[in-house]
This record gives sequence, C-alpha cells and structure tokens, in this order.
Amino acid sequence: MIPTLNEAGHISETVANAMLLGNVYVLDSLSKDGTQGLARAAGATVVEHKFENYSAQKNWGIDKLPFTGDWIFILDADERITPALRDEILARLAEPSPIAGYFVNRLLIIFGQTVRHGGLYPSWNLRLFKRGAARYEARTVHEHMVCTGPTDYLHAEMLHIRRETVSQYILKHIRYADLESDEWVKLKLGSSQVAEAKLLFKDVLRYRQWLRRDVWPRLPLRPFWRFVYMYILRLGFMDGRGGWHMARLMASYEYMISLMYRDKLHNEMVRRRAIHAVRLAQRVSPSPGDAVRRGT
Amino acid sequence: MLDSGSTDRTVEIAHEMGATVHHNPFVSFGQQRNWAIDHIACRHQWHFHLDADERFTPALLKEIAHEIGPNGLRSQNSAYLVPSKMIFLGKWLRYAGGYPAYQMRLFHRERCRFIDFGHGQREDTTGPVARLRQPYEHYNFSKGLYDWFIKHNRYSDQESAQAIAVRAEPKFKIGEVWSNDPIVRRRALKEMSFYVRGRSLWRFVDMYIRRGGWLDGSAGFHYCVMISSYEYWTELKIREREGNWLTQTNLLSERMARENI
Repeated sequence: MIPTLNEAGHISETVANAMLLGNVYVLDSLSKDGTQGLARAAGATVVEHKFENYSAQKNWGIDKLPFTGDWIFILDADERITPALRDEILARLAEPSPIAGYFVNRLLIIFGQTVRHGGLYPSWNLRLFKRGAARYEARTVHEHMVCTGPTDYLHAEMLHIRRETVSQYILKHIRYADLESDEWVKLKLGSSQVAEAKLLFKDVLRYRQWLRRDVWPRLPLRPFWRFVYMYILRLGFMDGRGGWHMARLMASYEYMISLMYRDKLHNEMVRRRAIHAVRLAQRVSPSPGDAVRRGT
Repeated sequence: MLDSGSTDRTVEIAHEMGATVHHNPFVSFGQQRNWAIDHIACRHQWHFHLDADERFTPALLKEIAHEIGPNGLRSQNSAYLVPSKMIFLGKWLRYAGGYPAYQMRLFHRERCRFIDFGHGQREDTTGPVARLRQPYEHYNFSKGLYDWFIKHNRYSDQESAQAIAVRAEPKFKIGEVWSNDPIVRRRALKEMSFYVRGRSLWRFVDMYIRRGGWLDGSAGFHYCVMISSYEYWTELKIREREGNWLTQTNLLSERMARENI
C-alpha cells in the first residue's frame, strides 16, 4: 500500500518498484496533480479517501482496501524497495514462522549521497505485517504501528529518497523554526509547566517530553551541541561532505529557533510595554478621539 | 504616505492616524520615489523619504530644521546623506551594522531625482550633497526574523546562480580590486569571492573582528552569525549546482533500487 498526496513526481517509479513484492494499492488523499492517473497507468489499484490524519488514513487503508495477499507492506511515495529487500522478504515469508510483523531499516539518500550516520541511521519502521496483526496508534502526529504478534528485524534496507534542493530544505527549516519558536514563547509566557520530578522518572514518555520541552530549550550553546552530537558522537563525519552539511544545517536550524524565540520574546515585551503605556495615558486623560471611536 | 497596493490594514491605519494616503502601483524603487516627487502636492520644497520600518529621532528633526531654515531657503544643497542606525533585538548595531551607512533621504524637490540601479536606486542631483550628523533609526527586522531568513534563503539562491555564471565565464581583472572607483572595486571583490572557499568564515571574521562587531555585544554577535549562515547557504548552493546533487540523488537511488550495492 502506498499512501499518497500530490506525488506525481514519484508515483510511477514507486509503483513500478513496489510491484517487486506483488499487487500495488495506492491510497490517495484526493491529489490534484494527477497522481491517481499515473498510478493507474503504472498498474496500481487506486482508491481515493479524504485525509484526516496520517494514522486514521493508513488504518482506513489497512481495513478497507481489497487486498488479496496475507501480508501488507506500507511504502511511502518517496521510498523504494531494493532487490535485496525483496529477496529477503520472499525468503522469510516462505518459511513457517510465528512472526507477525517486520521492522525495515530505511536508508536516506539526499544531496546526491547516502547518509548512514549522524543519528539518521539506522531508522527502523514496522512496515511489513500480517493482515489484521498491526495497526497505527490513534495519534495525530508521530504515528507508529503496534503489532499484536511477535516481531523481527530485516537485514536488507529500503531507500528514502529526498529530492529537495538545498533551498527547499532550508525553507522547511525556517518554517519549522518559526513554529517551534512560537511554542517556546507560549511556554515561556504561559504557565511554565515544569513537571514534578517524582512523576518524571515513572513515565518514560513524560520524561522525554520534559527533556525536550524544559531542559533542551534552556541549554546554552544548543546549535553547537547539536552539531557535536551529529557530527562527532553519532559519527556524521563518516558520511563525508554530506555528514558535515547535514550536521551544520541542523545546527543552523537550532540556531534559528533560539534567535526567533529571543526576537519574538523581545517584540512581545515591547508590545506589552506599549499597550501598558497607552492604557496609563488613557486613564489619565481619555482623548476625544477615543470617545468618538468607542461611540461608533 | 505612498502605498503601492497593500492588502492588509496599512491604508486604513494610516488614514485613522491622520496621514494623507496616495496610491501608485509599484514598479521600482526609483520610479516610486520619483512619482512621489511629481504627483504628491506637498506644501514644502524639502522632502524626507522615511521607510515604514524607520523612525525619526527628535535630534534629527532639530538638525534638519536648523539646516534648511524656517522657510526652507537657508540651504543651497540639493540633498543630504543621513546616517542610519540599524536596530536589532533592541540594540543599535554600531559596528556590525556598518554605521553610518549613509542614505540620501532629505532632498530639495527640484534638485534631485532617483534612478534605478541593481535592486535599489541611486540619486541624481543638480547641486552639492551634504551630510547630516544625526541618524534615523532603522528597524531592519521589524517583520520578524522569519522574514529575514526567508529573504536571505532567496538571496543565496540568486548569489549561487551568479557565482556559477561568473565562474563559467570569468571576466573580472585582478587589478580592479584596487580600482579607485568604489563600484568597480566592490564588484571585483564580489566576483573574486566566488572563487574563495569558506566564505561564511571569512565574512564572520570580517564583520565580527575587522569591523568590530564584537563591540555590539550579543546582538552584534547574533547578527554576524546570521550573515555568516547566509554566506554558508550560498556556499552550499554553489556546491549543489556544481555537483548536480539532484541528478546525483536520482541516479544513485535508481541504481540502488535496481541492483544490490
């Protein structure tokens, strides 16, 4: 199953590639760029369904598509199966085994090269499962699969192809940094939610959230640490120039978040002071203009 | 106020606050400024063009009043260059911002015209041009850093394209770097920079150390890092264009999807 939304650039190749494994079903979220037609022409069965969120959409596909086989592989439009992966899957599924789901490792290809370090690899995803044995957790973001049976890991990899230019990549970082810094400002100005230490260590999820929301943003030299983490601790340097640039762009991203946060906080304070000054002035002497405006 | 077709509440707010609002669709900076000189019926001969993200200071107003005199007849100059203070995070970037960064903003309507040049404009005056001592304030980042980064992502696209064009057809002469004409010199230096590696580092050293950005405190540091990031983006995009990274990605992924590597 290939979930899609406006993937005309990829879909023909993806469908042809997915046929290595069997019948291909494209679950389209009402694309406007002709993805459906291209997918059909490439030999896929296309079903359209309005998108709500990632997990709901994929669960709908898992339940409703007219699958004929016993196993489902979920492949994104910018991913590819390698012949080695196909061979391994066919061999594993042929032998009798209680395994109901397999994790597949994803190899990133970007800026003309593969990325095997820097914390971006390995990247395990449960993508191959027995029909009925696995579903996506009902979450709106960071969806992941839960499998009822035993699971295993496959050796061979699939490919994750990012065809964006450096400019598009940076643009995305700028947008995310803008949203992220908004969150930080809200956290700072709203009720600061520093969770109780007692509770933190009982719950791994909450502990991680605490690290991400309360500790990480307050850490000095974040861009630098991010770079050190990716390039040195996670061996990014082994990827050559690609590893260097990925780490550096990520440090840039961290830097933009901090700076936007600082700038927004500064502007907010200036704005609050200005409003305060206006209110004070009005209390002292309400101007006739104000009265007229209020009257209309 | 001269508006070139704002779609937000700009015009409404300006009206409300008592400004006279004029409209002219934007063609270029030079053309827009000339239109203002020709079509807006001003009572006075001396005009000051203030951008929306700039502010007068009382000291500047006083100096202007003193220079041109009560009826605007005292000064024989055509125009004045005015220093501008770049403000970032509430602080004046005296060194990193390249102060005084003179702009010709105060002029006599009959003695000055604007000519388009590059993505800005130049001035054409009939008489002498003097300098004011008092600066106005320039809030370069008033639309937020998001805007600044988006703009510089775009500029670095253009810069890298230009770098590739220059490298494909080098026509600059090394001697021009020492030319007496500042425009020729700047252009030669810029073209030369397209051959240099590590431009982000050089730019940072130039701004933070040579021009004294460190004297501007943390705002100065951050501004230098921002400019340096922009240079890094440019550098990265030059590499991307040279190495045809997109083609490489496609070739590599097609090959890996076909055979085992």
